[in-house]
Formats: sequence, C-alpha cells, structure tokens
Amino acid sequence: MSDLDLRARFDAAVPVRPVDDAAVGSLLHRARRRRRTRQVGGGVAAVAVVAALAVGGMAMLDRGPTPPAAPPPEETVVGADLWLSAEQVPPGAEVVGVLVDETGTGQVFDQLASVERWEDGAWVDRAEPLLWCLPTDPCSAEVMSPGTMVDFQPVEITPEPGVPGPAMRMSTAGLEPGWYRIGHTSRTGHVAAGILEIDIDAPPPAPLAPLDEPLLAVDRPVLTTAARGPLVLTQVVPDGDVPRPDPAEQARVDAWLDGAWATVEDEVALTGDIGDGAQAVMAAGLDPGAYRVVLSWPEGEAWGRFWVVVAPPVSNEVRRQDAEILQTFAGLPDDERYDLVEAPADTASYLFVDGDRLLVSLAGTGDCAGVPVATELAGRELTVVVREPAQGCAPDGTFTTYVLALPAGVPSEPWLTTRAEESHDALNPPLRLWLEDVVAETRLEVVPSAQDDAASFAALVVRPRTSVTVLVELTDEAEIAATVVPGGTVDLEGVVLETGNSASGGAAARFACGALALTFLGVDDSPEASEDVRYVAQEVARAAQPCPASAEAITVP
Amino acid sequence: MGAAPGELGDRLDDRLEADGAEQAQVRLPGRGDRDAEFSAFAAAHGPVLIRTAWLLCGDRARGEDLAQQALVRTYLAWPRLTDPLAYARRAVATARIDAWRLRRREVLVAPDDVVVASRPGAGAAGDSPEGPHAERDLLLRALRTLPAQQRRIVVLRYLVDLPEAEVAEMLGVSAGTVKSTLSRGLDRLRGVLEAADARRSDSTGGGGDE
Repeated sequence: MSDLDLRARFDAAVPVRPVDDAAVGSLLHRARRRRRTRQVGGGVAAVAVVAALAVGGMAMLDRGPTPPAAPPPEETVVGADLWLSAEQVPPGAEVVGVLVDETGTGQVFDQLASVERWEDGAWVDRAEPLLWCLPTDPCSAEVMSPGTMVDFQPVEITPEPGVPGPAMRMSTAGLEPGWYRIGHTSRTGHVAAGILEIDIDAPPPAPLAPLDEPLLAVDRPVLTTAARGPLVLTQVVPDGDVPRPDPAEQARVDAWLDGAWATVEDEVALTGDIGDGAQAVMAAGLDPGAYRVVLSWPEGEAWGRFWVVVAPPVSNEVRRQDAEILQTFAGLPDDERYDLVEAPADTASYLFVDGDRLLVSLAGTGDCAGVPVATELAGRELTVVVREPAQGCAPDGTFTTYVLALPAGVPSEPWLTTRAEESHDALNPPLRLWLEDVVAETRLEVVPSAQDDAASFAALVVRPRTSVTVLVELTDEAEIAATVVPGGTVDLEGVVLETGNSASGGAAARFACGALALTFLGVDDSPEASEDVRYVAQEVARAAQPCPASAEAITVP
Repeated sequence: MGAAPGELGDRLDDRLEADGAEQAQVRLPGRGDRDAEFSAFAAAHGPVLIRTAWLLCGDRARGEDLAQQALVRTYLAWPRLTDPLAYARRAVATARIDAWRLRRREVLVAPDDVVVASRPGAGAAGDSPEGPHAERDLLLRALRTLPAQQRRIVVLRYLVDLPEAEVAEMLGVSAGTVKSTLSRGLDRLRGVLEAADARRSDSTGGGGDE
C-alpha cells in the first residue's frame, strides 16, 4: 500500500468537516462561560486598571524604614472577606489570598487589589496596586509602582457564595515592615479586605510550590475541619512545559509541622482524570493548619497548597437543597426511606439502589455524563460528589454534592460503588455490573469497551495472552443470530454454548443466560483464538449461574 | 520601578526596552476583539482540529469534544498567545494524552481485531460491512492498534501533515525520533490494514474494499 493510497483512504474516510456559525457561536458561549467558571472575566476590569493607575502621577509616599508602632484595628467582615494564608510574615515571603463572598448573592471582584499601609493611625493608599496571580498563571504578584500601565487584561473573580475563590498568590518582596491592608471592592460595593503584617522577626510561613517546576492548582484551597468534598487538582506548568500526560498514581497529604513537611496521610484516595487532566482527592478530618497535597508519578512529584481552618471564611461548602427531591429525582425506591440530607436540584446524574449497593449513576448519552469524583462515608451519612457535564458534554468544573443519611439495614461495608470512570461505562450500569460480578468469580478481567448502548454492554475480557470481546444483551433486543454463525454446541452445566464464527470470520461463541444473551468474539479465526473464546465463554457461563430470570432482575429499580 | 507579576513583568520589561520610555502606552483589548478574533480562528481552524482529535481518539463525538476543549483553552489563553494555532494543536494532543491513560486498556485490541470488532449492530460498524462507515471504523481501529506515541506521530505528522519540527516540539521529542517513529508506525499501520483488508476480502468472497 503506497503512502498516497494510505493517506487517501484516511482523507476519504475521516474528512475535514466545516464548522457552521452556530457551532462557533456555541463554542464561544462555552468558552465565555468557562472563563467565568475559572474566575476569568471580562472587560470592565480593564477599565479598573486604568482607573486605579491613573493616580500614578501622584507623589510616592515616604517609605520609612521604621514600622508604625501601634497596630491597626481588626477588620470587620461584612459580606465579603479576603482570607490570607498568613497574618504575619517576614519580608519577601509569599502569601496566598482567597476571596470569599458571604452575601450569598454573588459578588464580582477585580483581580486588581488596592494596597494600603498603616501610617500614623490611618490606612494610606500608596497607589501601588496588586494584580494577583491566579492559580493557572505560575507567578507570584508584587505590588506595582504608581503609574504602571499594563498590557494585561485583569479579570473578574466571582467566587461561588460561601465557597472559597481561587488561591491567588503574591510576594511581599519590596514591602517594608509594617501593616498592610489588601482590599477588593466588589461591583456592589462590598469590601473584602485582609491585613498582613510584615515583620523581620516573623517565622517563615509554609512555602508555596516552586514556580519553576510543575505544580498543582488546588480548587477549594481553604477547608474547614468539617469540610466535605474533593480537592480538585490541576497541573500548572511553567511556560513552555506540558503537563504530565498520565494521571498521577498516588497522592499524599503533608502538614507543615515545626518548620518542615510531615506526611499525615500517605495514601489518599485519588481519582483518575476527571476532565482536562484534573484529578481529585478527598481531604477530610484534618486538623487546622497548613497542608500540601502531593501527587506522584513514576518520574516525579508535583504539589499544591491548601489550608484547614476552624471557622469561616468557609461557611457553606455543601449546597443545601430541598429534601423533596428524594422521591422525584434521586430515583430511590418508594419502599425505602432514605433521608436525603442534601441533594442537588438540577443535575444530570442520579442515584439508584442495586441490591445492597447504592450506585451513583450517570444519565444522558455516553459523552454527556457526570463523573463521581469522590465519596465519603462517615457513620451512616454518605457524601458523593459528582462533577457535572456542561452543555456540550465536557465537564465544566461544576460539582454537585449529594448527602444521604442511610436507613437502617443498608450495609455500611464498602458497598458504595461509583462507576463510570469513563462516561460510556455508565450507559447500562446493570449489565456492566452483572458482568463484572460474574467475571469476578473467574480469573478473567473486564475492561471497558466503547460499544455500550441502551440494550447491550460490551467489554473485553482479558486473558494473559489475548482478549475476547463480550457482548451482554437483553434477549428481547439482541440479534445474536446475526452475530455468530454456529459451528457446533458444547453442553455446559445447564448452558448450551454455541461455538462458531462471527460474521466477520473470527472465532465466536454465544449462549443464552436467562434474560441475557452473551456473545464472545475472538481476535481472529486461529485455533488459539477459538480456544480463548471457548475458555472465556465457559468460565463466564460457569460463573453466571444462576442466570437472571428477567430483565427486571438486572435493571435499575 | 516595582516589579509586576511574572509574565506581566516580563511583558512590561520587554515593552519598556523596546520603547525606551518610562511608561508604555499600550492597548487594552476589549472582549469584543477577543471574541471576534477567536470566532474567526475557530471557524478557520476548528475543522482540522476536530479531525485531528477524531483521528487521535478514534471516536468522532469524543474528538469533537476534545477539540472543543482545546479551543476553549485557547480562548482562555488568547491574550497571551503569539501562535494560537500551535497552542490549540498542542492542546488537542495534550487533551488526548490526558484521556489516553483512562482508555489505555483499549489499546489491548489486537491488530487482528480490527475486523472482528466491526460487528453488525455496533455503532458505526453496524452499517454495511463494505460501506464507508465500515471503512472508517476499520481505519480508526487500525490506528488504535498503534502504541500511543506512534499513533500521535502518525496522526500529527503523516495524516494531519504537520511539519516534523512542530511535531517534535509539540511532543517534546527530537526530529529524528519523529522520523523513526513515523516510519515504524506507518509500517505497522500498513501491515495491520493489509491483513485486515485481506481477511475482509476473504470473508466477503473476494470483493474489494469499496
């Protein structure tokens, strides 16, 4: 086959297809929304830069080397707060700021902050604004000189009410000892401010991740001791680098104790890729303090910082919803009485009971499913966090938290199963779960396949030397006659296994199992493949007994 | 002059050096500019990006989604991009790389499985075995038999026809590695397709591909 032929075949079969204006418009809408989701906003802030810096011609205030003796009064938090990772640091230390909207109405802040110094019993604006560095930008902001004009579009920061905003990073380099008030005024006039003291005798704070190496941006960087929910971790790399391609394999949590990092949880549950390369870990039950979460790959580590506090600013980490949704939305059977403590009002995902297991399942089509990213079982209360899909199907970073109080009688062992590491796994969870349960009784392994649909489930069952594709179909919808050309039969225990070839000529076998039809397809028609197919089919047939008598026995209650 | 944060500081320094001025008067782009520029960019380059992602992941819908993700990333980074297309291309490759790990077991599909898996009733392969859908399914499955790095290089260098140097930079390998990997990948792809074509021809009584 010549290069020309090969390329032409691909060009013809996988052509470039034009994108219409509507699709571009939809994409632009999605991008804008994503921009807001990431607290990256629009043009009003650009005006703010000019306005803030228009005073640049004013005289710079004296920077006396001696700090003022009397400290400033404490700030009263009204509606908004700027949480700072340290109240007192030595000169040059780095600090993280987190905006918190406590109004519950949604506040919009600028990325640009004012910086005032405590001088002679009053806050004095030095006209030296601070343009915070956001988590996705590997930098550490410093106050700017008066009059600086910037070729940069500051953004809007819109923290979800009651939930910490992004971890913004600054350096105190260039600031003399003294007290500083860093403030943001929201569009509605609420002031979020934090006070930072720079003292040459202050102990150094726990370090932030180095900027010249890959690091982790931590969503939800401030937790309370009673926090639920995941830490979502995204790799941030220096310009010119690319993120590590594979998900990390391990996670641990270190605490900053006595001036050094000490591991406090060495094997934290870690999800796979939950979209855009992000992974999530569940951090809960930590004492107040400064922490870092470390992800490990075979070739190295990356880490990001978070903090645990005892009190607000994190006041409402789980959205509270109407318990009536229990019956209408969660899909729980009527004869069960689950107390839905908190559940989402609007989501694409749902919960259902399968035997003694409570499953988080995923509605919608294969590419439009939510992804459970974390679960936590504390006593008889279950928390499940699902990353919801956006319109257009990609996870958009919106998380929904379900909290269920479990009724008596439901096993509290590790009965919870979150499925659908990949969205297509969830299209027919009962069939998949049934097959997994069956195969678990053998020495085979089930791996995902992309052929799921509403009435069938396909998987590769792997032997050491090869793989066999298994189709599990409901008999009333299966068309197994077209799949296998029978060549003979083998009588197993209560099962008649038909062996032969697939329509494409490869080794194949099939058998009926109650309400199900199972078809096994080998990689080719070689004797080895035929043997593999027969072996896998026999193993599954043996483990499948007793076969489910009806579709209802294996479908969602 | 006080330092500005990170990249901002670099830009300011560059600008001040270029202008030789104490202050730089610069453009603050409005959202309308970005949106219009990005829309034009997406309309012009989106189709090729979608096809690239489609070839990389083997699934059209997923490829579209990956390309959209890449374009959204591009939009987010728009103000600081000097070469948005290169960024978007790399984002496509990165996005696919991100997802590869989750699907790594699918690579267990054996080379000879490319026809067997094209069973009736299974999505695209459910159309006529000799129709265009079957051909597409065959080609994409054949691509998926290549190891990840080979597949990336075959797609980016050969099927999308990106320059060797750009592929090398995108994937963080040398140009020589691109060349040698491409050669091996194409050999393997041809071998898989020729075998699959032969079996398909046999199973249909010696008919051609189309």
